[in-house]
Amino acid sequence: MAVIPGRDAGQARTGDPTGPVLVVRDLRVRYPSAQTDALAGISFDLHPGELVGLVGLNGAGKSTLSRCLNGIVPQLVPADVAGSVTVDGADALRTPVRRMAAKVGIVFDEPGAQLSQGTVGEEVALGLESMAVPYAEMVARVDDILVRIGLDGMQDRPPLSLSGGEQQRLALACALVVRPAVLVLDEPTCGLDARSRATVFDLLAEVAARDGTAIVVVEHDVELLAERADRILVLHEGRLVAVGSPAEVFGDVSAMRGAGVRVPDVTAVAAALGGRAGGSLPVTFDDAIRWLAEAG
Amino acid sequence: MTGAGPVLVLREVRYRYPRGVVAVDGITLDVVAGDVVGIAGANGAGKSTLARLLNGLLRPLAGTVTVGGLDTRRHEVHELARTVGLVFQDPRAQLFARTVVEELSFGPRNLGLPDPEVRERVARVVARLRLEDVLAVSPFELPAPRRRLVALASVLAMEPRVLVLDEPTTGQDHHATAAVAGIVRDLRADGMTVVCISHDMRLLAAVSDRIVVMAAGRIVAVGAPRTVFADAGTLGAAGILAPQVTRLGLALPQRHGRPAVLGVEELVGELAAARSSGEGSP
Amino acid sequence: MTGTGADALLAYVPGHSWLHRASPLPKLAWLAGCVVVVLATWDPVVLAVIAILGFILAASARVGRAATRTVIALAPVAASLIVLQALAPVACRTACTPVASLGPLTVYQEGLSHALALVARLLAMETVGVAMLATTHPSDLFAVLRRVRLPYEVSLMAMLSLQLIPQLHHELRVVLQAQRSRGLRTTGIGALVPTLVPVVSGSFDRLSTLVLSLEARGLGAKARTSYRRVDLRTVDLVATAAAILATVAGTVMAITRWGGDQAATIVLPPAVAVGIVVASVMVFVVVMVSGLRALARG
Repeated sequence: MAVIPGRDAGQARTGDPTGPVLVVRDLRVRYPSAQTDALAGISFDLHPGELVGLVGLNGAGKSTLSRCLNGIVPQLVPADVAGSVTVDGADALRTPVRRMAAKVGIVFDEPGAQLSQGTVGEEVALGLESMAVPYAEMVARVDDILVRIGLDGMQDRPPLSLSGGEQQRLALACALVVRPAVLVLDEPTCGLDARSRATVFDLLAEVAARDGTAIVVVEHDVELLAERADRILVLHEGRLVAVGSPAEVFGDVSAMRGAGVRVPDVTAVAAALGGRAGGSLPVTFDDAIRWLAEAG
Repeated sequence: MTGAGPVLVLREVRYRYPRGVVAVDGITLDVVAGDVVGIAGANGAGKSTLARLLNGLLRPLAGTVTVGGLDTRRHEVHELARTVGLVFQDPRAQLFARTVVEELSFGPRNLGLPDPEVRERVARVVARLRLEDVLAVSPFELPAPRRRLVALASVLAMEPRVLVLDEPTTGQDHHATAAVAGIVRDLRADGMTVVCISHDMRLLAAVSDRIVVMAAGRIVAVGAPRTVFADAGTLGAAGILAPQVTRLGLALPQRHGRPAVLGVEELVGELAAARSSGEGSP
Repeated sequence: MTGTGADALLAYVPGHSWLHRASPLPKLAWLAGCVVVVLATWDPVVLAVIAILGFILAASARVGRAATRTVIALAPVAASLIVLQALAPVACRTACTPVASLGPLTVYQEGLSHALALVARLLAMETVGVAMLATTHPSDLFAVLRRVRLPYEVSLMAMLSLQLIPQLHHELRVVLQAQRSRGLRTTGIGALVPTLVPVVSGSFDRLSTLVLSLEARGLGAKARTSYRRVDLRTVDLVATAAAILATVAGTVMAITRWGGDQAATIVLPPAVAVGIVVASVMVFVVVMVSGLRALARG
């Protein structure tokens, strides 16, 4: 099996002419009876078709941030919030969560806990039913997404009879079928083997490219993110401490150490061997081979 | 506990789930006392089934599983728990007590040990895993990494000869993963046998004396990590990848023919030494 | 969590029989009607006939196995009913007629007869229930109920509960395994807390995630369409109307002619009566023990 294929991490996707689809400004979140802010003033933009990795230690605020993007925090999980989150023009913090469903799809890390319907078809159709999509269109969209996600023909199976990996894909299908502008995934590769992890990211890349969906992935697998993500956001103790392309972010080894974030092994190797003056450190496998060949 | 033979012996073990799924299809494996064995494989390869065969939760339909000399088919799970401690992937499946101390005492009490002995064992595991500050806290109030440690501690408190860890670092950040690796190394230094099932190949590379690769219920590779990780073909067919630094080391032309590296420091050391002695060349 | 969904649809047994292909509405109507009639009569003969007809229906739809399993599952209930009623009847019109004595215990005729009628009622409802429900996919059931104006929230809650049961069962098995791995012996009251607490707390966590997931997918919007559609053809409406008519007729017959009250008392020879009671005790014990054993084995 070859090295995980991926785009050259040096080429960050350039800003889309239609402008950002997600705008977060000075977002502050504090949970009731907490001593410190869970998020202490976060600002960033997301453009259509971007795949962004969100990294940081457990407790750094990644889950909180992902839950703010469709208003779960503060509407369903009480918290004091300040600042703004705007998705496709809608105020995510104040618009009822169920109305944000058409704009933001969210997939939690435990796929089984999100499945509740009698059949796979109904599970996927749930989002469309709530949007009052006409029957014929619903059936077509459900069939289409199941083919894309690799669960073709499973419309009538009980969701919980699927394997773990299939359930994960089903949860993803449920979020994608409404064609959201923004897709948020909380540790989608948790507990998956290398091949399955690559498949998930292949799927995400296809969705980003074909549908123009902006994707935020909370992940610990930095090697995978370095290969596949357009940008990386690093959270540390509720603050955004680094934003940029994987090369920019993971290449700053000392900043990553300060944030408790591991850099890809290849970057660590290059850093320890001493970066060339003015040069950047490799973050992907292929870059590293080239870098080491030149370094001599 | 002098080495009088391997502490875990599996011979031609087969297991099939009631609905007909063949999970383990002829596994033969010896684990020597004091070894750390890493089990790798794709989802569905049979790793978790193997874990449950090791402590008697599942009994082999064919073949034998012998732990510390005991045949798992002839002993109850609670008897085998003295010898084999299995830590489940999700700590929520185990935690139930009002305080951490109660939680840690559960295992030893179940073994029928007298109270003073229970207290001593709990104290030992508390010291090892540095849980002094949360003794009176409810395990449910702890952050996720600490909860995992409590679950691990509760099994260690029974002081088994073999510890089986089923995916100990799923969803953990890099500090917590490093902590688990450190604990496994400490345990090994104290003579414990550890079987570690994981998708985290870096973890396995860091702690294992031997790696076992499973695919479709069979063992497709077993041996020293350097040997197993160098076999890209077998790993690929099994659906897994060696750690990135290992693959890098194998791909560098200047290292052609050299053994696989298992960690960043090792590769850096080699390359730096090669550079300073003028060996490396594009 | 994988693999539990196969039994997630509780009563449903997939198939292609005539009953499977029948629309859910008339099936529901006939089932409801049957329950009404069964509850309106005490006549053991009528009840037995309904029970047998139910079984034939189930067998013709190839769900006879499911019907048998349901009967066995409810056997402890039936058995305990017989034992309790026979030995300590709730009420007799006049004094209760003792039939035989087992040491300090006395078997009463009215009690036993009443119990047998209760059991016959149970059987009738079970067999017809299985025949109708095992051949109907729950999703179709709820779809048709929604068409007759059942609120979406109610059908959603019912659907979730259906899914919850096998999930809980799976969780229980995993927790039992985890605690047994810590030396727990699964008998005795000491096993209760270490087993239930993780299951409950895990369910709590899972339910919160589910709630968030459902809301985040837009659940709760007022206007909604339905993916699962059940067509109601004329023949279905006719069959449903027939069910309603049959129910009314049956109820009238039940009240006027088939002993709407605890009229008839079956008179049994003492040996038979004692035999039934003893057999019930044995059935009760056997089923409970094997059930607990199966649970402990995980």
